Amino acid sequence: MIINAEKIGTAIVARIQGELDMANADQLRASIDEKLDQYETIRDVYLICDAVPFIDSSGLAVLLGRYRKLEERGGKLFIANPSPQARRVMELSGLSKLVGICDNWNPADLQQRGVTNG
Amino acid sequence: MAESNYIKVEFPSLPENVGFSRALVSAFASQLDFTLPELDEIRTATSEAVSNAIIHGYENAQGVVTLEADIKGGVLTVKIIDQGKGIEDIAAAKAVQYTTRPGRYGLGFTFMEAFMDSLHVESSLGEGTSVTMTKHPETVRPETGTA
Repeated sequence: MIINAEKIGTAIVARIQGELDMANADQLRASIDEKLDQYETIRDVYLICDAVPFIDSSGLAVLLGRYRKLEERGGKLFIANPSPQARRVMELSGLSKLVGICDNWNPADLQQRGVTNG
Repeated sequence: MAESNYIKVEFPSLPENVGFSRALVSAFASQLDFTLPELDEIRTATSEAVSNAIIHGYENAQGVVTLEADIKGGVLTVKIIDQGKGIEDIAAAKAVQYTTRPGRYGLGFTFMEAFMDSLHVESSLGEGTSVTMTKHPETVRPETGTA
């Protein structure tokens, strides 16, 4: 799994490539938590999932865990451009009611959402 | 198309083999006329069954997972077998959001039941678990009238 996570203003924007299951769930958890621990000012996390064709319950557990961490900070987890399979399992698990799902994600959306660069 | 076909594969209980197993089953299942969403369902159910064998059956220790799949009469059967610790209470394990481990979701059996036509679990404490799932393509081809 390839994860490119960067801090943009008060958000982490992470582009993920690969199928998300128990083989790499820890890698995703660690890469997000590292940034959350490093920057207390971070409120929201955007996971850009164009290149994530598959997520199973091991992957959903990581997403739920990050959602809870962000909720404690008053922030939110956003899943951008989920695959049909990812959307289906998020809906069936109820996770889609907790996280924000962004379709047709565009990096410019960050400015509209009040996340500034810096 | 052949009347019946089967595969049988053994692999060590490594997390890397979860992706391998669902890709294998999906490729085998493609011999039937499953739609892409149905193949996603088969991939998800297989991923959950193999993950359960590795995480719960072998508790992340070394073991062997056996994957069998066959196609008979237009129906796909997938069987995942481990010789791990076994499940004490299968009914409880199948309950939604049941989990024995913090940080897990407890949705493995829920997905298997939701995505496959049938799910059958056999388990003996200290001897292992086998999970058998079946699915047939929903699409009916108008020209033949068969599933």
